[in-house]
Amino acid sequence: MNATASTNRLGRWTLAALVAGAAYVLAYSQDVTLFYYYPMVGEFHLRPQADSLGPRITYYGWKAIGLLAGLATLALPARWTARLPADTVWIGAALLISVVGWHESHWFFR
Amino acid sequence: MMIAALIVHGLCALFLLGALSHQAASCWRPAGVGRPATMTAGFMAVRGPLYARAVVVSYVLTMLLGDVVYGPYRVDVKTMLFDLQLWRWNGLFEIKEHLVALGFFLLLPYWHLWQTPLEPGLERPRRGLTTLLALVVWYALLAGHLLNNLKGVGF
Repeated sequence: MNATASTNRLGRWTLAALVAGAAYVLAYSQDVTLFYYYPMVGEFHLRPQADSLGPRITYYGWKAIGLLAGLATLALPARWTARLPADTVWIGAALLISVVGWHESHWFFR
Repeated sequence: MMIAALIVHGLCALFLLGALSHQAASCWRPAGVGRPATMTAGFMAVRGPLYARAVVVSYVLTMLLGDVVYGPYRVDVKTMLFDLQLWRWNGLFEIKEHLVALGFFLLLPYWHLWQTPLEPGLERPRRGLTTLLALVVWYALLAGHLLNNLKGVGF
């Protein structure tokens, strides 16, 4: 693999990872999920169910949204991601981590 | 069964923490330095690329086991945190689950950056991303350990 092909591939992986992360953050911050899991009864549902099923888990659905968004990004033409600077990967990751820290800070000021 | 999963989850996390800490430290080692003479220098003087596969495998395994024990955590521990209004403890865990998910999405570029030989210009991204992943894993392990001390899953 030559240097240009390798850098192009890094651009693809970087964009897919950051889009997946951004989709995940958007999903959880807006409380949008693909499905709900009810651990007390071991059931998956597409819609929220009655409280009698116990507490629900939305986390798996958020991760599924991130994964699907990342996979969809991999279908983009390579030329779109070829010029992405290599530093985008860690700067973007640091930004996403900062957004999570900011969004969850309310737990510490109650 | 769930206690066994939690213990294996913790052991995998410890392995991951060690591997990523060594690898991240190796990124910050100045080039051209000779044989390590101190313990710190020895900690940094590892061949980082050899760790990449182990890091990816143990990260995914640790996360999947975490997903398994998340069900009982949601029922037993999180409910208790809400009942007792232990918001800060809950916040610790909320951040952990989100950071772990973000770290998971970053494994592909991480893997790519650790393919040898490293191209010129990719040293800083590799150092930055590996250091961030190491910080995520450090946070996740400490937060998980503290919460397990407060109330363990399966007990």
